[in-house]
Amino acid sequence: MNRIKQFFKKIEDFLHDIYGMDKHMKKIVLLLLLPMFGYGQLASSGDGIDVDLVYAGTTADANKPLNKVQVNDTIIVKLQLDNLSQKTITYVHVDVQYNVNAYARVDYSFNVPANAQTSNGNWSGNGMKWSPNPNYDLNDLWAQWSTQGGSYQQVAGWEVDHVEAVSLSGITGNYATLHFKVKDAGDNHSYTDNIIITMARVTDNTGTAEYVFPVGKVRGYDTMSITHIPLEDLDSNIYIKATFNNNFDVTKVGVVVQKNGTPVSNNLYFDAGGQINVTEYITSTTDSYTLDFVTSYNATEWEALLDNVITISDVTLTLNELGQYGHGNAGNVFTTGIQYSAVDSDNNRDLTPQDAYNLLGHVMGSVDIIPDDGTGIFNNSFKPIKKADYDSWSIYKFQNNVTEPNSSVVHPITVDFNQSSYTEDFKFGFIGDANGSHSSAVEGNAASSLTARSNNNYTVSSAPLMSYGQQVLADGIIQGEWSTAIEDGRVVATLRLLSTDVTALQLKVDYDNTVLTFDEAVFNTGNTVTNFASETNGRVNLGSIEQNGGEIETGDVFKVYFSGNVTSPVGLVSIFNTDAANTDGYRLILNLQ
Amino acid sequence: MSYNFQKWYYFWLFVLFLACSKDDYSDFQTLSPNLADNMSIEEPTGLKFQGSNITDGSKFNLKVLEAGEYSIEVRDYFKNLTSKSIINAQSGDNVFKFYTRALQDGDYTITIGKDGQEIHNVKLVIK
Repeated sequence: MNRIKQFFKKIEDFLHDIYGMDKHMKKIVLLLLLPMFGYGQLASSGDGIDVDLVYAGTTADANKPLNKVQVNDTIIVKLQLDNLSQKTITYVHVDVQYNVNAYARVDYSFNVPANAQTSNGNWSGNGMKWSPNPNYDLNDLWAQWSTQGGSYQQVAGWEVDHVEAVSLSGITGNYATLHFKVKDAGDNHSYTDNIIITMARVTDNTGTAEYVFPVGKVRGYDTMSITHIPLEDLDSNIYIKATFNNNFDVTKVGVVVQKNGTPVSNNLYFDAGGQINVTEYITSTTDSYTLDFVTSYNATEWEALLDNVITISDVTLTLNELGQYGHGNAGNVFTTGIQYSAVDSDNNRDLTPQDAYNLLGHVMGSVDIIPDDGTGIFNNSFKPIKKADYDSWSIYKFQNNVTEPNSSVVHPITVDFNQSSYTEDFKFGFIGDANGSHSSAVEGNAASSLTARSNNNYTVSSAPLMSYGQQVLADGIIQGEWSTAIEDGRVVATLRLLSTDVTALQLKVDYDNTVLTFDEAVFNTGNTVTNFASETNGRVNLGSIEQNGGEIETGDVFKVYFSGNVTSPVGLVSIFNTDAANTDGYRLILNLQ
Repeated sequence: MSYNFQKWYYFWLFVLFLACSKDDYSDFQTLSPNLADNMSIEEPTGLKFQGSNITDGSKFNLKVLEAGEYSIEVRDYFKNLTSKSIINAQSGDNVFKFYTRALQDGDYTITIGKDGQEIHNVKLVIK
């Protein structure tokens, strides 16, 4: 029913586009046109015999849709008898005409009662084609043959199979099956009705006299011909493969395949292993194909993901790389060009302290480093890059005006059809993800900086630890205490820092904003520490960063105050994520008790 | 009585008859008016939740012998502390609301403690 509605809606839209008709005018025109829609459909015999030409896949793939059939596929065509009468079919012959430039009939078989006699006479000669009887419907198969007006004529390029069966008992259903090998008939060939039923005769000999199903009672229904322009004979299996970070749910992104700028697929999402099979959508060597990356996350969900991607340790690492962290031992903490590109917030291929401060501003909630080109936050923050480019994008290349690899959500692809299996490999980066918490890992040595301290004395935890739903590779673990209580009629959440040598700290806490109102955040982190707090949609983002050589003091460093008429604080405030960094800007895990 | 009068008379009588019939609320579960009875704990101490899952605004009873501050920790599957609340409990039954809107749905471990000592530890689904 929905398809019918969509069909009429498309016609309405068409009338509106062409003639600018209003809603009521379109309805009236549609009503007047309604009887015409029936003329294109074949009519059933009603209470006679319907002969159906059924496409049933290929010999290699029974489920292959007709529109995906390629040259050199062998298609299966069934002749289906639907006996709507009270009679018995003891004799049937159906003529199947086909164009030999487009199809070669390579095999046939019968499915008839035991002891039935069958034959498939091929009429070829110098070519044979039915000239229809114009006085009867084309699908009135017995009338086409038995009355005057139609005949077979010599036409090169056409042949006819005379598919016949005789039985003492009833013949019904799929009584015969033909196999056709698909051929390339050339660009100028018309593939319309290149396989078609031309005529049929059906009788019942069970009585004392032969009963011939009369004119009008043997009809081609509901399909009597096949029209299909075959696709190229491309045998490559084509895959899109993603190498992704475990903190990123790859099944939430996918691609739309575009052919010459027009989508030819729905949203195809990566499976859990990071793969998509796009074979059925890339069917030509001469057309241009692109992959448009998409996500099933809505904008709010994507923003929540970015809340985990861009955190204070991305800032501290960037500040240190640019000598702005204030704790000495500056620079050489980035190892790849991917990191440089991720934090080049003004996209000028020149990483400056301003880029680091933009990133800090983003984390503090005062600056948005994600561009807004009107296409949405996903398009402007997600960076799919072909794997080879990703792994070889070095700091040297970034700094020396080498053309940056395509990191947009639209990627042209060129398939090598000489390979039986072709895979286009991608890796994913994120804007602002300096520490690579959610970006794909850079593999190999092509992109690595030989001067980076990571190759010398910087060590992180050898195995990632789970911290608030993320796998975190960190330089250490620090301790803190967290609690929520009712104090003087307000709900107060307190973070007590127990560890020293902490130079940056960030906490994102969710609260029930249907019950509570965020009042303020109070810091006790030290005189030279920069603190920040902001609130959006039930989430408070608060943190501190020390850039003057000192460290964040221990004790009750954060207190977050909420007001609300409650007597129980249980569950009202929860921790969304945490982040922290040491004097080198490297990430620390905050272990809360 | 005229026919017209009788027609309206019986119509309104029928309406009145329907209106005064006993309401059938068999499809609705009747909740006990005394919720505290459902939450009661017979033993001297204990922890009881209103349902098998914790939903927003559902209640729990913490029965203790000693009055004072008790902590309620909520930890996720990876033992990360997600929420920790401090409540003041009286000796005996203490029924509190459990809010869940700020928590993501999932399996959690709920731990009740006092002065750093664990008193109760249960695994529950928060919805």
